[in-house]
Amino acid sequence: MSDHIAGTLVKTLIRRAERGDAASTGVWDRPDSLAWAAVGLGVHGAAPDLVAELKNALMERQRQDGAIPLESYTPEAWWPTSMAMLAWRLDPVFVNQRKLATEFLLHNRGAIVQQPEEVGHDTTIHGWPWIGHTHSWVEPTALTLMALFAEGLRDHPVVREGVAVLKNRMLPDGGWNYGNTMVYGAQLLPMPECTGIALCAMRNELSEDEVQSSLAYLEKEYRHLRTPLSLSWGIMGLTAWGRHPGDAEHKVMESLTLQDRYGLYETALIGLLATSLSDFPFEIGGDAQ
Amino acid sequence: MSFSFTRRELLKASAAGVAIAGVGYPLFNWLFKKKEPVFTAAVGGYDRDMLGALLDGFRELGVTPEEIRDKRVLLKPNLVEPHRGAGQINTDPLFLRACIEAFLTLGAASVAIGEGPGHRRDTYYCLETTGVGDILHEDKIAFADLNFGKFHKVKNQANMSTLGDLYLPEAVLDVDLVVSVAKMKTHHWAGVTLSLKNMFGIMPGSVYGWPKNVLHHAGIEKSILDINASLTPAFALVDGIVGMEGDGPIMGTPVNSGLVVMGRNPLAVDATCARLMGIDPRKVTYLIGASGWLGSISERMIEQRGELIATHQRNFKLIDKIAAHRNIRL
Repeated sequence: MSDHIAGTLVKTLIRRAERGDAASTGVWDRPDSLAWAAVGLGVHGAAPDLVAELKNALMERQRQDGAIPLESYTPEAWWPTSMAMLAWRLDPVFVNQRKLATEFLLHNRGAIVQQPEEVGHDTTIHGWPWIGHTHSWVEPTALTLMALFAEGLRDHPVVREGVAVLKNRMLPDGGWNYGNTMVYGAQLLPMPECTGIALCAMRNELSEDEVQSSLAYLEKEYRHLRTPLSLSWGIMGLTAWGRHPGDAEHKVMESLTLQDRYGLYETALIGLLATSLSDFPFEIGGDAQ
Repeated sequence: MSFSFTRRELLKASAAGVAIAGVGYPLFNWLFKKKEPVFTAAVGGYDRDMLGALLDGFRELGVTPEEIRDKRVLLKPNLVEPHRGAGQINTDPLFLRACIEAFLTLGAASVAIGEGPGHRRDTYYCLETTGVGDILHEDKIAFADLNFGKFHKVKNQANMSTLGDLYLPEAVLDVDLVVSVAKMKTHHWAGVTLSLKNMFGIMPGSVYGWPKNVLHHAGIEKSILDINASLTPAFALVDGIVGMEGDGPIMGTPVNSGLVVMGRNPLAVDATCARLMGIDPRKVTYLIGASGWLGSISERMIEQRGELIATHQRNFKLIDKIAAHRNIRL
C-alpha cells in the first residue's frame, strides 16, 4: 500500500508542477509550495528534472541578501527561506544559493524582548521568527535548525542558541505549541504539528528520556490526526525517534479522503505528506554527510 | 509588556477617527446622537432555537430584506486554537450553522466561512476538531483559509499602530458583507475578546505570522482599531451561550451565560457584552480607544433591545494577577 499511496502523491506533485496549477488559484508558485513539492518528489527519487526546475524556481525567488520571501512585496515574510534550503539540501548545484541563505539566516533572527514577568519562556534568546523583526517561535526555529544542520553548522553558536530556544519552549508536561509555554502561571497546551517539527529538529539534541513525555503526547494525539499538516509532521516526529507508526500509509490515505470534504489540498501539504512517507525524509535533523 | 494607550494617544484616536471618512461607522448618526441598537437574546443552550433568536434579532435591529438579499456574506468565527473537549474556546459550530441559516433565510446569495486561526497553521485541524468541518460538509458551505489564501494591500484607515497598510485576504475583500461571529471571552492581554478582537483572524498568518505576532509587536490594542477601521464588519454576532471566564482566551473556564448578542455596530455590541460580563467597557483600553469614532460605548448611546442587561449580567471571573483584568469590573 505504501508504494501505491506514495505513488499517488508523487503523481499529484508531478502533475501540478508540470501544469503549474494548484488547489487554489494564485498559490502554485508560492515558495513553500515549490519547496515542499521538491522535497516530496526528491525523497522518493522521482522526476529529477522536475525537481531541478522547482529548485531553480526557488533560486529565482532568492533575493541578493539570501532570503526567499513569500512575495517580493512582503519582504519581512521570509519564512520560506528555511524550506527552500531543505529543498536544496546537499545539492552541489545550489551551493551558492545555500551559502547565501545560510548567511541570511545566521544574521536574521527573532527579536528578543526584555523578559516580561507574565511570560514563562526565555524571551532573551534568539531563535527564528515567522516574520522579520518579530519574536522567535517553535516552527520556524525548528525548520531553520534542520536547514542549518544540513549545512554542517550544528556547532555554530547561533545554531546552539536556536537549539536552546527549542529546549526552553518545550512544555513542562511534554510537547510543543507555537512557542508560548506559560502565561500568567498557566501552562499552555501542546499541538501535534509543532511537536512533530520540534522532535525532528531535536533528534540529536535531546535524550530519549528528555523527550519521553513529548513522544507520549504525540503518540496519543496521533490516533486522532487526519489533517495533512499535523499528520505529516506527526509521522515525521515519531519516525525521527524510531517510532514510525505502522499505520502511517493508511492514515495518509485517510487524510487524502478528507479532500472530498474540503477540496484539494494545497501543493505544500501534498509535498509534506509525500515527504512523511519516505524512510528518511531529508535525514530528519541529521547533519551533512 | 504594556499595550495601553497614553492619554495623548486616546485623544489622537478620537481626533483621527473623526477625520476618517468611510470607516464604516455612521458618523452622521453619532454626531446627531442617534442611538445604536443592540439586541440580546436569552438562549439556554446550543440545542435551543438559535435561528429564531437571530431572526428576532435582525427584525429588532431593523434590518431590511434589501440589506441582505442577494448579498455575498462571509462569516468570520473565532477558531483561534481548538482543543478536543474545550468548546468554550471557539465559536460553537451549531451557533455558526444558525448564523448561516439566518443569512440564507434573509435572502443572501451565498454564505461562506472564513478564518485564519491565530495560533494554528493547520486550519483543517481547527475545522475538524471544532466540528465546523461537519457543518461545512453537511450544509455544503464554502470555506476560506484566510491564513494562506491570496491577499491584497489595503489602506490602513486609522494608522493607530505601526502596521502601515494592511494585507487583507481576497476572500474578505470579495464579498459584500463581512460578519464577525465572535465568542464571549475574557482575554489575558486585552481584557475581553469579542467581535472587534475577533477580526485579528482575518489577518493572513502568511504575512503576519503566528500567533499573528506582527500585530502584537505593532500593539495589540492599536492593531484591533486599525483592522476594524479598515474593514468594519457589517454585523457582529456574539456566541455567549457558553462563554469563557478567567484566563481567556484559551485556558479559561466555560460559563453557561446563555446569551446571544448582536448588532450592526461591533463596538456597541462589544460594550454590551462587556456589561453583561460584569466588565466596564470604559475601563477596557481598546474599547475606550475606539469610542467616539468606531461607534460608542456609552450606555446612553446604545439602545438595548431584547433582554435587559440587568437581568442577565453576571460577573465573569477575572484574575487579579492579570494586568488587563485589573480594575475593569463594573
